[in-house]
Amino acid sequence: MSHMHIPDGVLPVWIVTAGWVVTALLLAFCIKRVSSIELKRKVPLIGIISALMIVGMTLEIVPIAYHINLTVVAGIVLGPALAFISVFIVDLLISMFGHGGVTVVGLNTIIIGAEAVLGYYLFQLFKEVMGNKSMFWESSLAAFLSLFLSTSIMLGVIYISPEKIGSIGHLVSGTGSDTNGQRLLEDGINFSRFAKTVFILSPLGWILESVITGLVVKYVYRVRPDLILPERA
Amino acid sequence: MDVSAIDYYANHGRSFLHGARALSKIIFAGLVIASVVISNSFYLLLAVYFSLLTIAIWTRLPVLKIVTIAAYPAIFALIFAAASWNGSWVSAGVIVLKALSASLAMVILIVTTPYPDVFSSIEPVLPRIITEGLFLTYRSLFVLLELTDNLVKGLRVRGGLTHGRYIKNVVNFSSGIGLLLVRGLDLSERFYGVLNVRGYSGRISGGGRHEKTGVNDFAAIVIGVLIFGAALLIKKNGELSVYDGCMLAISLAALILSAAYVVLPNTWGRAWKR
Amino acid sequence: MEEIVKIRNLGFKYPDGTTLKFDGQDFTVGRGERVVMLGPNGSGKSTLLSLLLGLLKPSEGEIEVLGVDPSKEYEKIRERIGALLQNVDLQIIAPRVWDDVSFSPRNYGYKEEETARLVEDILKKLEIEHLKDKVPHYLSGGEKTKVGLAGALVIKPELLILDEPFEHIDPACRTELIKLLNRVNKENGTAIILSTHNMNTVPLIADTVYLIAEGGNIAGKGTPKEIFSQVETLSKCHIEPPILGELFSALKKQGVEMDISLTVDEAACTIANAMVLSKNKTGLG
Repeated sequence: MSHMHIPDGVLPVWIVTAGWVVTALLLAFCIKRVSSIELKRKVPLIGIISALMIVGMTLEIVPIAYHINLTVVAGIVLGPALAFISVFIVDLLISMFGHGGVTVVGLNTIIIGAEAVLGYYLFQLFKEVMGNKSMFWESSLAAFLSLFLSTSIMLGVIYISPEKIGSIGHLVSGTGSDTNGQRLLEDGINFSRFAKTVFILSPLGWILESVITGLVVKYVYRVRPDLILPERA
Repeated sequence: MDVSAIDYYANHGRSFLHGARALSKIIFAGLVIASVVISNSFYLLLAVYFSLLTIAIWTRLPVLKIVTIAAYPAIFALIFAAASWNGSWVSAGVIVLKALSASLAMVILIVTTPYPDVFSSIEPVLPRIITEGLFLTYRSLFVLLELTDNLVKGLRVRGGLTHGRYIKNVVNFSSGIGLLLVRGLDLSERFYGVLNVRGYSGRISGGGRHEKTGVNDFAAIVIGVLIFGAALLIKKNGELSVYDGCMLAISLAALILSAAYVVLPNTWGRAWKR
Repeated sequence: MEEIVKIRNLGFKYPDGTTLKFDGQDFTVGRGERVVMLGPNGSGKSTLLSLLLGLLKPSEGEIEVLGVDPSKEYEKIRERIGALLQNVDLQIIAPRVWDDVSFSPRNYGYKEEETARLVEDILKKLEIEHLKDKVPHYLSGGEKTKVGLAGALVIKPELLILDEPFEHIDPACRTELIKLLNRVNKENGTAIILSTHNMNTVPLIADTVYLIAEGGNIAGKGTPKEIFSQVETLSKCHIEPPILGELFSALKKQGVEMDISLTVDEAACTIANAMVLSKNKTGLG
């Protein structure tokens, strides 16, 4: 649970649609950016890294929902554009396993894609600042921060769309009205409670994912530095 | 997330849904998910879930395993439910049932349809790089799963994953993942070579199997349409109408009868133990 | 015989600085010839095959396959070459057997009907029609090899390059595969270049054998009989001769002079003849 997969049906249709639109635009941008690389060079790379992320998700570290995602590793190895495409493929595939909603693949791609993209840029920044002295700390910190930021983006999505969650109650009981749902929204009970829950549950996942990211990057740097520092290739 | 089991069920199952075309089942799943999205009625959602359980039984696959796979989003749905808690168990139930039903619809689709067939059906609406990526991800996944299996076994046999030594375990496990990544990237170089040698020009798949539309397709689409129709009707007529009760009663009866007919007499032990 | 593959003083340098030099003798393959490369692990057999397939660029020397330099113009000859690389599991990239076997014709732009006909033909020839809708990871080792081979043979290549095709398959399947390759060679005139560690298969599949020693040195060239008679060269290349070769060499040490036979039938015949001859000699004496 380093990040949350939003399930189907809990968010309003407009935000779900907006998620798809933004993802489609970002995908178009990424595809344009990598168009100079030949298809037969990038397709195997995307395939392998996407498969690796899914394999990571099948390995549960702490039972019930704590698994690794390797999104930051994907960002570091693939670079931001290919990593974002890879994240979309992973989200599409895992939605078929019931692992995250299918209608919210767009939103989940933005959130998890942000993790990979931010992970890449933060890692580059730390490398710049700290040199290549400690790959473990540079990649761990990049992973931790990008997980924190992607969770914040997810909370941002929830923040702008709480009326649906709040409105379910009165629709079911049949007693409320829109004002009832509005009251919940105005009180901010839903959002703050939700944010608290997420910030209580997530850090354990962030720490695990960061440590594993750091160790993986450190290992790969030792055996194949060209994969982490392409300039050495 | 037992990817291998899901793939095995899809490729080796023999139910009416396995006999239907991928596109028909995608339409079915789409209609169910649309019903889940538009509906906030607890009773309707419960009826939809019962209906899906009935269909899961009729796939003649291990039902408990399918339901467990599809239950994963419930964890996240519970967090959403807790956040919007207003004292009513029913409203929390709506959130959880929405997640469970949508997920079960997708899992029913994927345990009865091999992934390549699903990809071939959605190929026309996706950019080439994504579809080619999907096909190669699928192929790589099973190569990597085999490597992972060997890796975990190797770590266990050599004492790399020992009970009680958690920090050491995490370090060894991470090195294993690192090794997997390096092997994976070698594999991608290998795939690149193969694509080169075999003249790749942008078409990994042959466009899927050419199957005829039959009664199984009709059945899958009709079930989807019935569920969606009921959702529309109930949405139009408001909460707790007579339609809610009817739908719930029918779906519950179908579930009990199916369980009695399919699961209990023949495969009780086998199906539920798996 | 027209030479379709020629290499001369070819060299290759790995990124870590290790160098291979395929010198010693010229390496050539004639049209319709069956060539087997033997050598210890790390001698450079797979590297040489990758060089022939244009997957690697030589650091020195000359290489010519079907009239072109594959490192520069492989595109021109790609449709005339079929290849089965080491560890066939990683060569099957399409999601289903039919997709994989039809991979090359589809990507070369063959018409749909033509592709279907070619695929049906090759599946029938290899007796794997029943596998066409299967996904690769549910196939056995032998089935995967056949599928990989079908993918390589579907376009009826003039040259077939096989890197250790007998790995991970049982003896029955191996025998079947050898028969099949010989049939393809005979019917289509396809030249075959194959690397293997399985000595007993060599006499059944080779017209010419090349011995590759460490560092890529081409230490020997000849028919299987000629090669397996050169016990010293074989041991220099860390190659154990096939069991029948060893038998005849042991008999020679015991003072029994017989022509080396490398197939069971041939050996049985030679030994029986020798026994009859010696009986007659004893009778006459």
